[in-house]
Amino acid sequence: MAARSKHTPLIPRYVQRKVQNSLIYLFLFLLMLTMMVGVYRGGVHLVELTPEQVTISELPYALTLSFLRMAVSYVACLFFAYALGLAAARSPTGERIIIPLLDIFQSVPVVAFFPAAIGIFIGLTSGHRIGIELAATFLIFTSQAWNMAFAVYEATKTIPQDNLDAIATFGVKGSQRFWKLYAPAAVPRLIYNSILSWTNGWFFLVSCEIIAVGRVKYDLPGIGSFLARAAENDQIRLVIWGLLALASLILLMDFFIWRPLSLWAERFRQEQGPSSGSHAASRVTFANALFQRLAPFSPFSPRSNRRSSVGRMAARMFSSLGYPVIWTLREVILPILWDLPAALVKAASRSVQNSKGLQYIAQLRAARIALTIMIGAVLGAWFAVALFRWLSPPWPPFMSDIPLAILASTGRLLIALAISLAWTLPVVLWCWDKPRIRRTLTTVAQVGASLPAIALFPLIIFVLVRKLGGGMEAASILLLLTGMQWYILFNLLGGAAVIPGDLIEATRSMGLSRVQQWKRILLPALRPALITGSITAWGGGWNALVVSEFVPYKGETLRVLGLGALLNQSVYELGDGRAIMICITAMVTWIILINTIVWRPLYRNASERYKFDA
Amino acid sequence: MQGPELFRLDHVTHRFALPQGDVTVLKDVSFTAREGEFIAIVGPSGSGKSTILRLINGLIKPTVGGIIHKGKPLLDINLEAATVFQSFALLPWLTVAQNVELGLEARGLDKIQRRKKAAFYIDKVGLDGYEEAYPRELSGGMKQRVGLARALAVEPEILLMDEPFSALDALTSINLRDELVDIWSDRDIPVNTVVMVTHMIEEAIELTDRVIVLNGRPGHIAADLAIDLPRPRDKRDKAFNEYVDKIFSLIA
Repeated sequence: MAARSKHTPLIPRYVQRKVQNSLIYLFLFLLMLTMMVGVYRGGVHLVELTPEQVTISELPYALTLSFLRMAVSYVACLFFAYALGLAAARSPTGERIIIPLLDIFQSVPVVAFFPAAIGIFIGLTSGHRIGIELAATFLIFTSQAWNMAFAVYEATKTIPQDNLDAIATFGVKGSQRFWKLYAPAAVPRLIYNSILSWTNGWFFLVSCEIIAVGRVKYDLPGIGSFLARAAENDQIRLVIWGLLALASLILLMDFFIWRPLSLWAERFRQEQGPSSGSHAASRVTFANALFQRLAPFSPFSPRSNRRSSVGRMAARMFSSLGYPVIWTLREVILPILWDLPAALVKAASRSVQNSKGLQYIAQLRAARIALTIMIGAVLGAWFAVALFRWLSPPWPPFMSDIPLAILASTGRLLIALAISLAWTLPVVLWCWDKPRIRRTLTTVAQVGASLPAIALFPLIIFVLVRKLGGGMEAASILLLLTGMQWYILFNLLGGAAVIPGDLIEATRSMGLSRVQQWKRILLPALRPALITGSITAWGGGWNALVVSEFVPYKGETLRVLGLGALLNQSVYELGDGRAIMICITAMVTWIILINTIVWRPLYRNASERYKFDA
Repeated sequence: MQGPELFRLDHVTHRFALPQGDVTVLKDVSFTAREGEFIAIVGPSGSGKSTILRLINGLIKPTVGGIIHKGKPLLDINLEAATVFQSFALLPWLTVAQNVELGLEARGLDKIQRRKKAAFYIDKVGLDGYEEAYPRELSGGMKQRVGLARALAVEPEILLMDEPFSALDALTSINLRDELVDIWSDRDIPVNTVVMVTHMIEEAIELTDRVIVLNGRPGHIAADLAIDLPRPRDKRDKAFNEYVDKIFSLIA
């Protein structure tokens, strides 16, 4: 008799899983790199659709075009987020592949997608305008999609087990289950993340509208390229106009879209157990949330029924417009997308089960093992060749600079992180019990995080170099700051908002002074938000490096030694696939390493010790 | 009033796979339920009470053994069973009526039939007039009434209840228990077989005909007692308390 029962394997299961997971990571990473750079063929092309000298009259057109690109990309992101988020949350296999993939893609800067964008979209349409538009939209997509897929994944994962069981026991299946359960359950997180995605999209818009690899260059009219041109030519007046236009659009969207949507999203929050939340939440429709905001501005109708009548009218308008769209989606498109594949898989597996021959083969252990070994050998050989090809000489000229570049970039990020914390923390300590100011600051953070760093460069140069003195090194840290500080502020404000009201009252009733309140309540309560914010800023910072360490300005390129600059150099100047791959490999490896060693343990510790239990 | 066999657990052993290794929650559990029975499953926490309900409902499949429903092994979700959950499990984005109609919609009933049936059961649980309310606007007791109406509306052969009263305050749960007995004996409502999980021994004895006592880790059946007391039952009754003591000594 065997001493070991079959339920206790020789190697502990979690070790097996760790090893398997790292292998999956490695495999996906290599696969992704090959696909991203492999599709690119090189050559010389130049398509410039933005004039060399931009003028103010182009601004409305540019803003409209950029907005449309962002909107198209965002809709694609929604589909992508639901598809991948649900696949990851519902199937263990899907989870083990999709989550690492999202994790990797999230840490890849947008310029690294240039070869793929050119290779796929522009290559397939042989340089047609549509192809360039698609390429730009795809690049915007790469700066918007990943966190949204994570949002759907997390929301689906945290659906209370009882709700899942209830849906299952009542026989709700297929696309109906999507409409009744999965789609609504993801709404709150999805809307919060949509705001972040739009912010990120605007921030990197400049890079998406000017696509260049080596001597191949495409650019498109848009607010991103407008700002870039104006900044390059040091036309500060135009830069300011462009930034103002962009900021106004962001504020309008916040006011008319995100705030009403966030109110509306409250009805989709699931609570476990009998605790009752805000009673009115379920009654808020998007339309009346929007029109509640408009009501104070409306000069018509008496004060008493202004809200309800305007709201009702709006609701009717929205539903008559939206209903056909939603109906088609629910009754036609989704059943096809969702139920048909499921039915096909079911039919296929049934026919496989029924056919004797296949059943016989499937049962042959030897055949399965042989097949596994064969696939393994082919993949292994392919990896070996690919790795050899990428890592063998001729190396890019900067190969020996890479370790130093990693250190320099990390140093800059740490300084920017420290500066961000140094001003945001006191601000939140001051305004944590002033909800109005908190809300205003959230909007400020949203606008601030959206403004492209490159457009701010001339202003920074103007202030820093002309007034204060200081070189590119200081400018690059300041630019980095524009991509980092707002995320910390955003998270800290969010953290301050969820401190329970009775806790604040309790401390007040005990007569704690302001400083004691900070020490005993606020700082511990803010710790999870502080760490989440730092992680987000850190991740975003690596992407922002690319636009902070390497800036075209007045006909020359200002740069500092850093990984972001090296990546830019590989893309824009060298146009060398191998150099790009080496830079991405260094960057992604470093980011994932630091995440695993530093941030994850910190986060786990903080979220367990300092969370508020209901 | 007991009829033929409705379902049975046949030497059921259930294990959960966890990263640290497998955990056995149920070991060799067998019992038979007949039509019209009101069965309680009691036991300390961790003895696998809720797992039994999920097995009967077909939400999970046993590692060893099987569930036989009307002579056939149960392979998928049992659509002839419906569950009332401890946490109510109502969808906050649907109104009371929409929540109750959920199972009817899944069974392909048209809108008019759905409305009619939902209205009937909403009325039966005493929520007439609250059809268009959202769960958030209701008290805990009212929410559980919606949960009950939702389960009754699909007119299941087996009503499964997973600690249905333990999230409610004492007074509310007393009222709801009385109503449950009324509903069970109501001739207009086709449901007549109920399996209820509870950790409150008195609740089990007050309501049911038969108490299955689980104990240990992994859980196994420690006793299967018929409660032979006239209804309505009185907690101060001597015979009642003898049952309580007996079950208590089996668990403790």
